[in-house]
Amino acid sequence: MPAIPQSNERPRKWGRILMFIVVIWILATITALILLGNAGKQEAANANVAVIAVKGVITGDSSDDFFSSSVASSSQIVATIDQVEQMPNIKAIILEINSPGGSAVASEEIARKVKESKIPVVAWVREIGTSGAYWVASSSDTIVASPVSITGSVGVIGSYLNFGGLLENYNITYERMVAGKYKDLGSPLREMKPEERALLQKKLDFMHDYFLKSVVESRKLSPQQTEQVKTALFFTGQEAKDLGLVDVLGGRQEAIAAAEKYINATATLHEFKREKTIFDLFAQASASSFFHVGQGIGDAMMTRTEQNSLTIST
Amino acid sequence: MPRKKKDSNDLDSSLNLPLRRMVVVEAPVWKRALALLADLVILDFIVLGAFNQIFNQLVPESSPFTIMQSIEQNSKILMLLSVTIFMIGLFMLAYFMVMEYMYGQTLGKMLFNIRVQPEAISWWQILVRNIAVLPVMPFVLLWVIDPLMLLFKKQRLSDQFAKTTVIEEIEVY
Repeated sequence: MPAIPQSNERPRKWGRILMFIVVIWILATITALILLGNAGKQEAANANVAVIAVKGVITGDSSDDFFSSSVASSSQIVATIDQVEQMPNIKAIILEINSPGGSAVASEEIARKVKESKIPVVAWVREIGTSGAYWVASSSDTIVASPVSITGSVGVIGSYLNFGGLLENYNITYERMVAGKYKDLGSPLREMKPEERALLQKKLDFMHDYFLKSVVESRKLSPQQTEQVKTALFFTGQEAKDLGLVDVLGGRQEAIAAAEKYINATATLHEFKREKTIFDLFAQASASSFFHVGQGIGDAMMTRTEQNSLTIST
Repeated sequence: MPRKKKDSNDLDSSLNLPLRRMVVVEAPVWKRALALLADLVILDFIVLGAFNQIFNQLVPESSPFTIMQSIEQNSKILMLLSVTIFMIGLFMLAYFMVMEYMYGQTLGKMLFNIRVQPEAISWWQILVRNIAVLPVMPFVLLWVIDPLMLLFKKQRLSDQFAKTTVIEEIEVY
């Protein structure tokens, strides 16, 4: 019986084709990356208004780039503002805010940088700009928000889950071993004592006062307005305008118009983003489901980790 | 690289089945068009996808007239766009050339079982028959001439220059 012809040829052929396709894709991506770098530089050199995004939860570091792309890193935003200030062609900044707030320290870092900025800053609140994100916005020269956007919520939260009862149900005990009376203050593995609660509340109150003071100073709020803002209630854009928390009601066009007032010229925008790495571009080019699945898992992991420990956020 | 010929009759003859013969006919226009469409879909994923970000950054979101106006006014952006489009053309050309040289057919042609003849095709012939992929004058004129020639003369002008044809192998008993 004759042998079946070309038994190994077919898989080898498809292997070679697949390899060829992958090589083309990699080369195209590398070429695109080089051209994209030039395109970005070209656009930035022609712009007079820088757009900097504050999107997602505000955090300090940017080490969690891959899994949490929906994070606004204070170190990155501050570095971008620094970079923009060095560019002689950039005359104003539009902060595109879409964030529920986040870490108190990170929010304060951005807010301080915005306040100290050498060029005018317009904060454009899109869907949400609450808590720490509002802290950032309040430090700008003009705040633009949609009448139906959510803003305000000038408060501090330190709530966490207490697993003490759950551990007890499973006969697991928490062996407390600390050097320093309050070392495990806020541990989710045991019930908090009234004395500890009072201590923690005092610290939250201090942070709240600091946050509120900053907003009141920046927005020049009256005592009546301050009383309403102090409750940490969130407001719609319209309510915020009535309260003096927002200057202009509107969207992108109004934000551009506000920036144009500062520069006395027609605005040419350029969005300043984190420099794209080759990995970013590969991820973007593939736009495949594994990336988004990975991102989802990563976000879920991040959230779980954050919930399991005491974090104070604005 | 030489391509191996199919020899399915070996097995059939040992099984005493009626002999199969391969009849070579000119590939119908609709199959060639669909094969090209399939190739373009594949290239959209592997080449255009990578360059998409550049277009997003360079081309403003506006009406086509405003876009054209703003691009024409900025010579540097116009040059960068031209380079990008040329590079896309080069990658597409590389895909068609390598696939046709190695296997006599692209993935689209494989899907519709059509291939380029002659089998022992040279790089020069492949370049000539695919040169229309490059978005450069005067090759872009072939975007109009080639389909018309294919419809009325059954052979593209590029194929006539390259002395190549696209054929379909049909099995008959």
